[in-house]
Amino acid sequence: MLLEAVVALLVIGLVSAAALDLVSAQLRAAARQPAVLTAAALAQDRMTTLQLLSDEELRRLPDSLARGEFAAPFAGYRWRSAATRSRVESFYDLRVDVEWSTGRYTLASVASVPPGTRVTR
Amino acid sequence: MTRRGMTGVELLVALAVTGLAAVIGTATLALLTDRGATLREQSSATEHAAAVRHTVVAWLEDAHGAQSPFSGNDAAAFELLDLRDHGRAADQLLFTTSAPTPLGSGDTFVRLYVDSDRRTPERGLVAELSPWPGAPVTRLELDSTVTDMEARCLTDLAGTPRWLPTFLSAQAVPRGIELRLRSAPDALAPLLQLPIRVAVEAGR
Repeated sequence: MLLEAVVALLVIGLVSAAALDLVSAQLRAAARQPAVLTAAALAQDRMTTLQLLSDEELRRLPDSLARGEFAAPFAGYRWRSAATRSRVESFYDLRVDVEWSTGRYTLASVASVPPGTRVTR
Repeated sequence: MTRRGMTGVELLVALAVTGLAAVIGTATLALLTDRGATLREQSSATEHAAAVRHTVVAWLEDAHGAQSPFSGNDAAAFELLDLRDHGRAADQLLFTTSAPTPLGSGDTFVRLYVDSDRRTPERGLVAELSPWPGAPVTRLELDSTVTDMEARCLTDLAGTPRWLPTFLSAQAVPRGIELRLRSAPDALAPLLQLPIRVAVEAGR
């Protein structure tokens, strides 16, 4: 009887521990999701900024556009951007990395930029 | 003499241990459930804001000024109106998009504005959709918390590319569009506080 009770308690304990582990795994995933969605939107914002630059600016990407940290309410997220000439004339390979304390999101794209354009802000 | 079975004390101790484990387990589960509800709420708000951004970006990316097959001889226009309403920025964007909308996958005429009209049920950032200019409209409330919308267009129509607060053309679309949304403090989801910048495909 004692042995049966011990085995029963052990089974209950194991099942409970597994259930709690499952719930906490779900929580970890739920906590990560908003961070990834936020990073994706921030990366898209940086990518659009690159896509709207002129040929001259893409060739010599200013430091303020090449890397930086996002202001509040996105403190803790930082970005790195890169634009490299593609093998095809007038095309650039664009890449944006957004990093935060627990992850990284990368966005890559190709942009066609006619040479000699300059944008006034 | 050989003892068989459990004594009363052993049974009590076993029950006490089981009860304690059950109480700790239940409390932990309740804590995790509460935390889960909070996280789901935050996640849902972020998902909504991301969906609004994605929708607006998709529509504007595929904005075009070409003649719509539904508008007869009238060329589809792209308009950015620099407006104010009771001291608040109330800019409006009117454009034709070939991106999918709730009306379907053909061309859709879109009016993007902040609705503060008490006679309509929609509030905040609203998209008015119609299959062609002048047709019955479908209103879509994108985010009810938005109170201000300020927009500007990147255009090189005058030779030098620059950002302008207004734009009106029956043929061309701007190269880029930037929307800034605002609301009462802390009401707007963080992702909607980030300006929505779009590189318009047809404006290149």
